[in-house]
Amino acid sequence: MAEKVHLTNEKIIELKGINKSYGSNKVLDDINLYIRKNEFITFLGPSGCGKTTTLRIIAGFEQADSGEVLFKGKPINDIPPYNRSVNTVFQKYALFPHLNVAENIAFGLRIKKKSKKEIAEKVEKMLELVGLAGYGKRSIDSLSGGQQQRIAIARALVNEPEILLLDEPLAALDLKLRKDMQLELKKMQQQLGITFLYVTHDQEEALTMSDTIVVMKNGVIQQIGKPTDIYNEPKNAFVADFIGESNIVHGITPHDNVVIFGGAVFNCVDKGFAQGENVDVVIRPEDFIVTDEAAKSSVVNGSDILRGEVTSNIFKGVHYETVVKCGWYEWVLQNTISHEKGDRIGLRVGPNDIHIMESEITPTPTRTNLLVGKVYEEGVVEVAGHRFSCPTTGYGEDEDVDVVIRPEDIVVSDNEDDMFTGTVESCIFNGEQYELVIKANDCEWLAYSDVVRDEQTFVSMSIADDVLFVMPKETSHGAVNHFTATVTAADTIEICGRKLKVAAPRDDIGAVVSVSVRPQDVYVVDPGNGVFEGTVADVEYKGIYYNVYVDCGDGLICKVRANEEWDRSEKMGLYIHPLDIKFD
Amino acid sequence: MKKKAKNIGVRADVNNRNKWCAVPYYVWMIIFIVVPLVMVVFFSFTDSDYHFTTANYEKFLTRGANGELIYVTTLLRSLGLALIATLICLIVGYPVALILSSKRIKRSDLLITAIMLPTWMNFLLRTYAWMTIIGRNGLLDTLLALIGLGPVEMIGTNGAIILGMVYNFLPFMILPIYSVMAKMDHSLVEAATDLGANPLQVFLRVKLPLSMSGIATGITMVFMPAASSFVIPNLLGGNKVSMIGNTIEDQFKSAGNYNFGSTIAMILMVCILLSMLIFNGKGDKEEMIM
Repeated sequence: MAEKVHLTNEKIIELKGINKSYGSNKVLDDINLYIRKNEFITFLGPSGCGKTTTLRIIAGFEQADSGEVLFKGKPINDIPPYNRSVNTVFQKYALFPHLNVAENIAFGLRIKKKSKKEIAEKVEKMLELVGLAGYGKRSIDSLSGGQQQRIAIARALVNEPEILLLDEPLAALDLKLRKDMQLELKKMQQQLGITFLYVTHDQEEALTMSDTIVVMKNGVIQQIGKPTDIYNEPKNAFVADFIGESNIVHGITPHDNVVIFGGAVFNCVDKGFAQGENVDVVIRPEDFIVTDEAAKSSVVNGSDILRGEVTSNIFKGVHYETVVKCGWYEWVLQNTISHEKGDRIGLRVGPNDIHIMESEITPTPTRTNLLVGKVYEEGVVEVAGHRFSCPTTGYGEDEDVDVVIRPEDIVVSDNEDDMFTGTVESCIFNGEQYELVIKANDCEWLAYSDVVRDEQTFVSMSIADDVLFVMPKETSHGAVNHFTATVTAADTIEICGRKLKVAAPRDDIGAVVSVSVRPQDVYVVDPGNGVFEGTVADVEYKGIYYNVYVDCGDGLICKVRANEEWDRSEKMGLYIHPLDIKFD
Repeated sequence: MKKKAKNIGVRADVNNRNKWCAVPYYVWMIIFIVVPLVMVVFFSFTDSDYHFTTANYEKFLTRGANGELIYVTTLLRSLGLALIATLICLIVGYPVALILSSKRIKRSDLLITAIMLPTWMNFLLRTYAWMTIIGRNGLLDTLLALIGLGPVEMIGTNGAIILGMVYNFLPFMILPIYSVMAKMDHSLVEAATDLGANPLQVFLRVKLPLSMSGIATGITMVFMPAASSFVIPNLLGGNKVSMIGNTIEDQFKSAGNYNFGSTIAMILMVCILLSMLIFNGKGDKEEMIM
């Protein structure tokens, strides 16, 4: 290998705010990047991601709708392609069929009116460089795909461009040839010290050759970085999925450095996500550590073992590719140990191998009516000036409560004697029905209707008594889990025989204290991975979420806020982060 | 040249596989091409009693009252007028084909149809139309009279015949060139531009050499019918300009001399064949030079 070309910080090409549309189809959306001198930079993405369009804008074949292309700091938007010191290797080579090999290579030099002697010398040198010395007199038709590709590269390089643009140049070659050419291209680039801009959809090609990779999707740059950075620290699930094989699952971050996914709790190195934020978690197949099912975990108040059954095991040459089904999830792992189909194993992932990124799919907030109510008297709740009879067990008279009324439970009509009368604020068709926002009794109500209703017209609503969900006020006492605990160490308490780590240090060892944990801070994990283990005793639907009461034995009932409904007597583990355990 | 040989090879291969499918075409070709051709050769070398003679070929060299070679002159005039018409078609047709094949023209298929449209009309009718336009007291004559020119005698001039030929045969020049240009890989143009060629250089070094096959086809398709045409000289030549096509027609229709008519046809055929060889040879050579 030639000596490594030192990368300077000199920017040879800079793209600033490039936008491009074909009709209504936006192919490039605010592209900003720079290319350093002598860099091997690769634009990587699926077809239609805008990588080729970006290359064509740099070459001058396409004009950006807006934005600037700078070459060594000078804008070149208006310079035609034939005056740019940039040369291109086309995907289908685009060799001139009416010229022989030498004439093809000489094309650019002849245009520049170089002397015959100089042309002949340079052509000969180029043929040698691409390993086709003595092929000058041959016709293009007589060459194989790989040879044509080399001639196309020679034809571009002979002009000594400052940047060589390569548009998927190896796409038409077979695998073996492609691998050889990848190494050769990289070698050439280092020998000649020319900036290479390479476009490909082949992630392996990109990782093999590039100094820098630009990952694109739908005309937007997803990530720019060194191959190792892109591989090890993908910015989002798309990049992780596109570069290399990976397992991508949904996860929740209770606090910094902890993430819950796949029914287990993991330590990780990522910080800065919100408490309880939904995230995407990426695990590379080679990063799993196989342990046995009963392995002990080092995670505080939880366990990081994914337990499951091997469902397939394929020998791939260097490694085995094993699929392990753990509950809802199927994990793909690569390692050198063979597992039998049906084996039960445990999986573990090191903190550095867990890649957490913002979720691509933001969960849609449940659209419902959350109203302020008041217990009027036993069995009666007043909401928006109207009294509903509904059970008020557990609430005192005059206590403020939250009331949820689902929009599908509101009956909309034109009847003037109805419970609520108001005006239509907006009416939007959502594909199935009309979503009405109704202003009535100083409240805004969300309701559905099968017929369109004009804005600012009269409307009335009636709501049955039994559709109300009465909940304690968010801030009030009743919503929180209260436990009686014994302090057993500076950072440990014991609740009904189960040891929990806490964050706040205690010096009153042996004391009996009262602690509280909010239901939303208790996370459901697989049985065996929690600090508490129990079965579902009761489930309450609260209009927006479910309250799940988990019986952990010894009279310990823990209330958990969950987004999905759980069947009664289902087993689960519960995880509580030390920071979420509050001393009363 | 190599390419052509390869194509023939491919065709032979296909024929081997589907030998029997080709039989109807062989029969057709034998009945309607080979037999008539043999008959023409036969007639040209016999007299009215079917005896072998070269007298017909000697007659072709007959000198007129002023000592000029009547038939040779007619033949040369025909070839000359056809050549001029072909060149005009090329000069007019090439840019049209070039423009139509460029990516910027959106509805090129519509424009091509428009160019082809006149050829759907009867050939005679089209030529008659020109007679009324350029004839005495015709449209053009009247217009010229209005601005104080004329009357101009246009029917019966070489110009009128060339006009008729260009008008009738222009589509056959445009089409083959257009189809070659439209099929040309646009990335070749981009590659040339990328290598520093400005639009003129791209044209001269890439587009023109790659369209040579279309030009050769166009020339063949215009020159051959133009050289042997007899309707155009008949109508627009007004019996004043005699061309070789008319002479052949006269021999067959008025004089009833099939033998001499066949002889002239044979000579014309050989002349066209020779000129075609020259055209195509030149085209190939140019391709090689570029």
